[in-house]
Amino acid sequence: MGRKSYSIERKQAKWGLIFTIPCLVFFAVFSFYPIINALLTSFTNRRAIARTSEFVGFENYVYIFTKDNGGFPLSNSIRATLIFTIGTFIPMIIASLIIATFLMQLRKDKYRGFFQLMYYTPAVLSSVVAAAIWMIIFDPRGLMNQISNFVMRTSGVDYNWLVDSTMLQISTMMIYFWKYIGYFVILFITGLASIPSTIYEAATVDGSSRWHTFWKITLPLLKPTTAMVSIMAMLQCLKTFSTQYMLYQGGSSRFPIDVITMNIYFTGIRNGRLGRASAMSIVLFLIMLIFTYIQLRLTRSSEDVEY
Amino acid sequence: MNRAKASILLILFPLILLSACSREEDACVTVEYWTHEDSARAELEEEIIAAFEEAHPGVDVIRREFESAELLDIIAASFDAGEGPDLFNLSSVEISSLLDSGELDAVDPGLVGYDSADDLVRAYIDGAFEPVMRSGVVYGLPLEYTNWCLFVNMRILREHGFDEPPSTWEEVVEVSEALSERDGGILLERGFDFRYPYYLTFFVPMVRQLGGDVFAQDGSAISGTMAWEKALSFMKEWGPLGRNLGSPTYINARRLFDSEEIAMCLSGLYQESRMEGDNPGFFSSGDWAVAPFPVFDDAAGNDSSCVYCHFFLVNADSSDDVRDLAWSLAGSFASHADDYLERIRLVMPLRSIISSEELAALPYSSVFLSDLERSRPVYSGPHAVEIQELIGEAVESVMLFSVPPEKAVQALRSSIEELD
Repeated sequence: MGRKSYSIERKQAKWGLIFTIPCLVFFAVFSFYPIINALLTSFTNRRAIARTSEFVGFENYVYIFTKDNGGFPLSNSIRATLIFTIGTFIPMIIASLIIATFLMQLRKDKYRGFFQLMYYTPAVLSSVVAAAIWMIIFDPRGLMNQISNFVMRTSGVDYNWLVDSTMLQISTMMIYFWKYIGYFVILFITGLASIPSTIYEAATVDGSSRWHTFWKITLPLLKPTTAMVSIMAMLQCLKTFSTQYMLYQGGSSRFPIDVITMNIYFTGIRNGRLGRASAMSIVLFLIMLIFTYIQLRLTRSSEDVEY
Repeated sequence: MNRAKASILLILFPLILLSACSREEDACVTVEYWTHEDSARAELEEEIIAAFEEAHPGVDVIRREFESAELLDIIAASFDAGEGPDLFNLSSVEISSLLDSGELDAVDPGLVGYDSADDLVRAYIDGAFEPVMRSGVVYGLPLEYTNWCLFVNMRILREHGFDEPPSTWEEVVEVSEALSERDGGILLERGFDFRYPYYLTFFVPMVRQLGGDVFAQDGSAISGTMAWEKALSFMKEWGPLGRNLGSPTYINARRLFDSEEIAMCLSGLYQESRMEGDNPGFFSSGDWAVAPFPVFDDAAGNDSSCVYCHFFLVNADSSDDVRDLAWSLAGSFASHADDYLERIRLVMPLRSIISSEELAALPYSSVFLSDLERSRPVYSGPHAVEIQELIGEAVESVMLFSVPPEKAVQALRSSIEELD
């Protein structure tokens, strides 16, 4: 029998598979295995340090939904996470779309590049540095109190940015917004750049105003990007940890900002209850799965866009 | 085919390199030592380690520093992964879970310079080993024994008309009120502030002064409800929703004291060496003093701050030879107790150190020693770290969120009772 001959498509598919294997292995080892491991651990009473583990069925799930968890119940964490997610990702999507559109209007590439860099810079800063900067800004003598007093036309009022329960939650939203908006702006700019300029030229010839063009052309054609960005932003917000942790380390109270990931960290690492922490992480995983499914359903027509 | 061979070689090359490296490492024994950040101690310990390595050819000691607040988390995670350090130190509050789960190696008295366990225990002051003893076996070697007193910048106090440091908490409030500067409701300068995350060390003694405690004689949580409520009310008044004299969100007062940005703070004897390093002019100016840990006017008890100790601990999972080397190294550190005292003002609770002329000659050491007599060891039993966090939540809930003290005490009690 002679050598087998393959079509170009099959050869390409073979090489495609070969190139995908490292990524699949990476996903299996660093994502899929931990998920399965967390699921299995959530049915045990595994303790850190002692490294003992016995099967306890759904005991951890019953515990986290019915008990106080040492003063930090999961119900409070779900509340803190949902408030943070809703309060952050919706304004972030809207603001990043507006900023991206504004940047696309800039005629000179160097200006656009400068602003892109400016917006993206906070994303590359470490969380420790970001928290240090914002602790200074939120200090009673800091910039935020000065701005708040100026805007509210008050004098010498401490708005308790790191102290008051509501203000503390707003502070975490602001830090996160500042840190990650540049990333989503760049994603939107990529989406905007992929819309053919001929469509805009045709609209201009037809006498469409900028406002009308944005609503009737840009926004509908940007639907796939918007869907992707909103899902990514939402998932990222649901997984938030470092911002809240850094503020807690800075002396703020844990309870108002005890998001699920932070509760997982303290339950699993500080208190050594890995079984319970795993159960919490599975709950977070399910919340993320449900929200992603809902969002995909809401934006399912977004794949229909063709240029 | 050639491409395939090249690809395989490309993948194998780093592995070959790695295996070569590991073979080279096998030639020597490595002792991994993890500790909390302390620049003054780092210098001394690096010298001791260098001498130790010279005396033990083929031994490589790796010293790593971590932030104090994160050291326990990192150690817990590393033990869970089976990758714990060989030698490390933790404070008395943080040890019980490691000790109770059998992760710590018992001290070999011979390796730390003693003939027997009895000799070892006798060399240290009474109770020094309490947090690391189980059934008469010792599992740790004391590194630093610390109680806190009130450091006072007398120049600032005199400028505001106070000739003596405050001796009661009520006086601390009065002096702080006079020293605080405000722009309306914004606190610009504080006179004093507490050491917030360490509630077992400073807040529990305040509760004890008023007649309460973490546990009652029968083991039930939160004894002396009235005392807790009173202490929490005091903290509420102290905080931003009360007299606005301080808050956990401000920069740690101890860090500001050396640069004369705050008039008073709670700290240990080691503060003197930091002050000498950071601001030698202030250290030698005679403008500062150390006063006993304050008490309440109507105190039922006379407790000073709780005394805590950092211990050298050895990982029971390390190999026999590494464990022996780790204890020998800890013994080397302990044999330099006089250097720890002289150079960085860390007190190892050896009888010879506590009664030494060197300690007596240090400024205000008599205040620390006399406060030790009315001090109790910090709570180091089961769930000590979690209990400290829960007390913190109770204090912060009344200070920052206006939760009534009665409700905070109830929540604290039920949360502690629920710990399993």
